[in-house]
Amino acid sequence: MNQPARLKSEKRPIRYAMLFDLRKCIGCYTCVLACKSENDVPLGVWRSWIKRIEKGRYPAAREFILPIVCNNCDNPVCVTVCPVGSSIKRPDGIVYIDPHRCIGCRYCMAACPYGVRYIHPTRKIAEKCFWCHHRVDTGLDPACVEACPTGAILFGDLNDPDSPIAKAVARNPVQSIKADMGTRPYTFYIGLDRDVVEAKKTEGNE
Amino acid sequence: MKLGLSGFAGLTAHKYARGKTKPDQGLPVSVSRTSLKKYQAIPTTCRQCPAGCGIIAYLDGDRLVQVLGNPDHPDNRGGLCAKGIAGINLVNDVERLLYPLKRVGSRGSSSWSRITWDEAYSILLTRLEPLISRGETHRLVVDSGSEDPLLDEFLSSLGCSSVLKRQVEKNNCGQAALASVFGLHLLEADIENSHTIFNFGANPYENHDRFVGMARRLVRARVDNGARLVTFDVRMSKTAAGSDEWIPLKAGTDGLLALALIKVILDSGLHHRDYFRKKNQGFIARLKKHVSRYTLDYAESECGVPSRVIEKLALRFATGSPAVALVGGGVTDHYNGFESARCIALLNLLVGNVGKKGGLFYPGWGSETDRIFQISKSAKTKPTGFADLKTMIESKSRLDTCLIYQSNPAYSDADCLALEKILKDEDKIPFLVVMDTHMTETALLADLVLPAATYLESWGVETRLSMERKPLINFNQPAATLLSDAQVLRSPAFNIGKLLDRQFRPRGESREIGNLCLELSRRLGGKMAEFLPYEDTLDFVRKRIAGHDDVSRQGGIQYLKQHGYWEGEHPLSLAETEVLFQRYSPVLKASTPFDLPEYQPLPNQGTKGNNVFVLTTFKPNLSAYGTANSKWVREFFHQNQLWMNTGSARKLGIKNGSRVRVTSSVGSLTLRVLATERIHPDSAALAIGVGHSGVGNVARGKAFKSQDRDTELIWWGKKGNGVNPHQIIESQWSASWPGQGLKDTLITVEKI
Repeated sequence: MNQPARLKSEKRPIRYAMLFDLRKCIGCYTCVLACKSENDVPLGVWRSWIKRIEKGRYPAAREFILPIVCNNCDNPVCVTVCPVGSSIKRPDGIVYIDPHRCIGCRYCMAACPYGVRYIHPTRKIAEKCFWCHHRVDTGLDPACVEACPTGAILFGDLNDPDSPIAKAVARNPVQSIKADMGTRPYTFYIGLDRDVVEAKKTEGNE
Repeated sequence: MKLGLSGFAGLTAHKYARGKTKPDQGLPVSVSRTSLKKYQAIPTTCRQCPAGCGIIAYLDGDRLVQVLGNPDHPDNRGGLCAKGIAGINLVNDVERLLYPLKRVGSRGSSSWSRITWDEAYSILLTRLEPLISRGETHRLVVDSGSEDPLLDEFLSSLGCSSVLKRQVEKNNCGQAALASVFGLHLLEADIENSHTIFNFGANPYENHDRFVGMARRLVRARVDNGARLVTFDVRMSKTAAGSDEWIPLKAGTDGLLALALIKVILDSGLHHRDYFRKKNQGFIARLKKHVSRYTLDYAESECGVPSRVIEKLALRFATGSPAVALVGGGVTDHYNGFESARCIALLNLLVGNVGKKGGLFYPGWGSETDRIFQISKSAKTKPTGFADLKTMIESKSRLDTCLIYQSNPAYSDADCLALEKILKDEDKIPFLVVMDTHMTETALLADLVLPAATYLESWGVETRLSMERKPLINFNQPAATLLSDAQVLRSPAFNIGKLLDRQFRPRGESREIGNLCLELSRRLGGKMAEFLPYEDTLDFVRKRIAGHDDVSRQGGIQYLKQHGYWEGEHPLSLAETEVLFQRYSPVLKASTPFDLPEYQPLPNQGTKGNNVFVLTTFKPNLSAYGTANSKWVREFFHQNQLWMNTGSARKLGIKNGSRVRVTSSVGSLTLRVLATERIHPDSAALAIGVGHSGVGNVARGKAFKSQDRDTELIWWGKKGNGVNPHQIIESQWSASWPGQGLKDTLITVEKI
């Protein structure tokens, strides 16, 4: 850690980030169900999901797993395109949707390179993962982080060098999805395989 | 700027320091998404699987809204699995059984009339009383899918011995194998400290008796401590996918592979010497002679694993100390499971890991005398008992009443269609009672259906050893449904002393099985009532806890109500396991020669055509008894495909997604193929947990209108509901084989 020592008064603003350690991920769907439960997500739409593909020939086949949530980008296209200003980026980096302003025009859905947004089937407004900001503001971890059985998901302030996530990012090579889109995603992965990212659909599971 | 509730929540200042769930002392919290109100937290224990993870049930007002892990619980440390989270689906399900029902019309016609509990009790008594007075309680058969101590006590007071305990029976084979080698029927691995872990057919990343506790320790061992995990399985399970190496081998040859590994270890002289030098000097020489026929070439031709790989693995296991070998259902569910598990146990013995850091330990609870009592009681060296209800029924003449609790044999037993016919036959089973949370396939055939309370509505206490080898008490307390003050005051059981306690009542008229047993014994009167001197399940739990001095000192039931578990301070020393092992192991008894395990090839495997495969089944981690009708679980896991190796499928002209007919000696199924590289060419695999014809509309994938908005949004029914593999699995159980071959069914695959 060769960061220069900083005075307390120089404390940088909070920048939340999420890190999936794919070496520890067992692909168990706990994060997905925790999210459904926490955010009352209706059937047929998801705020988080798991993609899996297989690679290689028998007997050297491998399976790759990729859990996906919103990247809460630093340069969020969805916020730029929203005609009514209902997609908002908070100073701490969380991008959320004001349900009272959203008109359900789906412009943000078309713009998002990650396809993380959906239209709520009865409320007809756009929704997505916003790192459970209601929990974060109360001092809790997002529901998926809390529930993960193997501790594969880390969440915290990337600008605080003492936070577990900042340490993990500093010690390990991390990747993000579609880093070349200029969106500056803040959901990071350890051990991300490019082929899983590029796979169009998840391959047969059960 | 106008902001809604959610918007307001988004802009609140960060006044709290962030931390894992516990901003202040006391219980963890969870907050309402819309109002930021703190939920009421009730710590209890998850019972979706036998793992017993500590959970916190969160209540918004009187409604159960969320279940998350208990961050303090020593086994899961706040982690939870998808099944645990789906627990609220089980409690709040709109299709739950809420009232006792009596059959009208013929059996299986699913026409019911609602009755009161009083009527239900008198019906049960008219069956039980003649049996007791005539001393014929052996004509009562009980199939219990989940453990309940009060049910056990009630049945033993009746003198009923025909009890099929699913949780116990499924581990029978593995436990007997351990007992026959180590003298100890239970051994767990100190997995976190192991450096080399060989996993034979276990799947701790998906399903395991210690699921979350095991998975997180395994992951930590592998990622943080750099341990090497090697999985031997016919199919790439999630555990195999998350291992360092997956070694696919032919179904049922795990024992031979273990023997070949033993041979290499012995030949290179890398085995542990101390045990045998002290106790049984001739053993190594005898074993060496015994395994001399299990050569690398023989193992290569039978298992399909190259001999250089076997050699490399053997050396790794012997030198990568501490090393441990795990055994799972992929081994013990074969005909030869008992012998194979013994071979693998011998592998552990040879590297001397019993009672060592990173090795095996005995998870017995209580004082040393208690542990010795447990060992002597359960030290069966051959698996005995019944594996399924059909065998049990067929072993009885003149059966009278069959009680099935939280078990669905008409769906989940091997050859379930044959069992269904038996259950329909009123001559064979004159009276069938089912107590369950849902109208299962078995309940549809019953004469009397009783609504059971879920684990989130029940009292319970269970003692065990935590994964950190400390004494642990897991406590269950109801978290649904909270009664209002008015309801409490109006209830007939109102007691002024309990005014300040939270009062819960299971949904509808559902009851805990413990309370059913107590009420029955009260009504039977006399000695029966004396045998169970408890007011209700809470009273029973309180008396159980009062028996534990250490807990009572810390506040007894009040402590458990606040924490949901109790953990002792002093871990069981590993050295004690070694002492027990040295004392009881049949291997170390020089006086009687140890019966060395052999490789038993599976029958009927020689004459296979290229469209014949060995069918293996697996339970995806979303699948559990309590999640059959869970909307969140079913949304992900509603279909199963036949896993086939791409190469073998191509030979038959089958592509990914082709429709095939799968036929075994007992039935046939039509389904689609998943052509994959992740399975052995001679095997085919099917997931279990789907293909329900009962339970509920959610399980069958049918959208319907109800109070729950989500039930109208069920979208997966169009694609079909999956198939039930148990319909084609042969119920293979013979006296000459000690195990049940659930994974030995040969299937023929035809393209249609």
